[in-house]
Amino acid sequence: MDLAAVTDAMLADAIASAAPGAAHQEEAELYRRFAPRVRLYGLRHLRDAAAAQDLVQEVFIVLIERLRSGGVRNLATIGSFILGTSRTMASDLRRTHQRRERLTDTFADRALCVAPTEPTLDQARVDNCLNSLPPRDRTLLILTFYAEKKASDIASTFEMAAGAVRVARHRALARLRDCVMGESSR
Amino acid sequence: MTGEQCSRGASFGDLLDYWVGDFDQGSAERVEAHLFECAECAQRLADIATMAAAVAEAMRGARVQSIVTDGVLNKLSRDGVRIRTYAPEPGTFIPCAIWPEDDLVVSRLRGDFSGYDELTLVLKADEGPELSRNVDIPLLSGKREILTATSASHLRRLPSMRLRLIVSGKRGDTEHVIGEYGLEHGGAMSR
Repeated sequence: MDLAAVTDAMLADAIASAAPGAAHQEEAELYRRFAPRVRLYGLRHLRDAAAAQDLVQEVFIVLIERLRSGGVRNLATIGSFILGTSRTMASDLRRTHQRRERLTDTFADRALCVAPTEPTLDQARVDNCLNSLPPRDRTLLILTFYAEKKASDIASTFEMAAGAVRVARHRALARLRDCVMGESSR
Repeated sequence: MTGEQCSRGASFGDLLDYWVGDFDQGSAERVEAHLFECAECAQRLADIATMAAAVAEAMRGARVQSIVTDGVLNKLSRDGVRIRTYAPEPGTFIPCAIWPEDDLVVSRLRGDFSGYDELTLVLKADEGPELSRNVDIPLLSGKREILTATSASHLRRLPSMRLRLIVSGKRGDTEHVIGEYGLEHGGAMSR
């Protein structure tokens, strides 16, 4: 069976219906589909690659155990179940990770803690494209993604409305994306 | 990350606003619920996250030439970027050089930049060609100061020469030179 064509609910049902551990291909497919989303959820809320990777592992341990034991009531909304589990576990992990961060800051090289699984772009290409953007676009992206400023903060600096900043930021990222992707496809 | 909307109507702009934290909790939760149902948007968000990380990495690597703020410079310092700063006065030349430990060179340009429709910053060799031109630069540090950051590795490639940073402003169709700032670039130094 081509698992790529199977719905999320069908995958969850196959895992729940099989003997524990027997549906390992379906489990792998579910992981392939949802692990990136859980990781993004973790990055968005925990702001740390290592913590996000921890979240993926924790969520999938719970998910697979609950599916195998019949503990997921509505398999048709498996995405919602994974999101709910991510929310609960992220809250727990945030506390654990804050303690770990303090330990790591004290005793170890932080670079060693970053999971090597993040997708990456050709950094030299990104650098060139960023430097070729109009100055306002470049600054907007730097303030957003490096300085981590929200639209309302940038609005006061740029003397623009927050809504206009959001539109300009969207366009600036689209220009950067077009440059990076355009060059990569040549 | 092609197109602006997924087949269920979620927009690229919504995903970007969600990622940078510009949505209230209710809107953010709606986006999250959608992301766990829509593989297409999950992939778009992954692309946004990757691009965002690459922008931050370019900054941490001091490889971006840009107008910046003191806040950005402070964050760069906290990230271990070594910054050398020059503050040339308008109409004068000051000596400058790039040292082996420098990652980023910042010029603090002071003047009255208020009341212009558009500001342009040009770097040129004194009595020579333009090396770069940035049109419509933003004023980020009030109306009386512009902070421009340049990669030290980029400047290291320049020979010893006199450089001019020229800030001009447009009022209507007329372009005015607001300030010329001279740097006696001594080239790449060693200790």
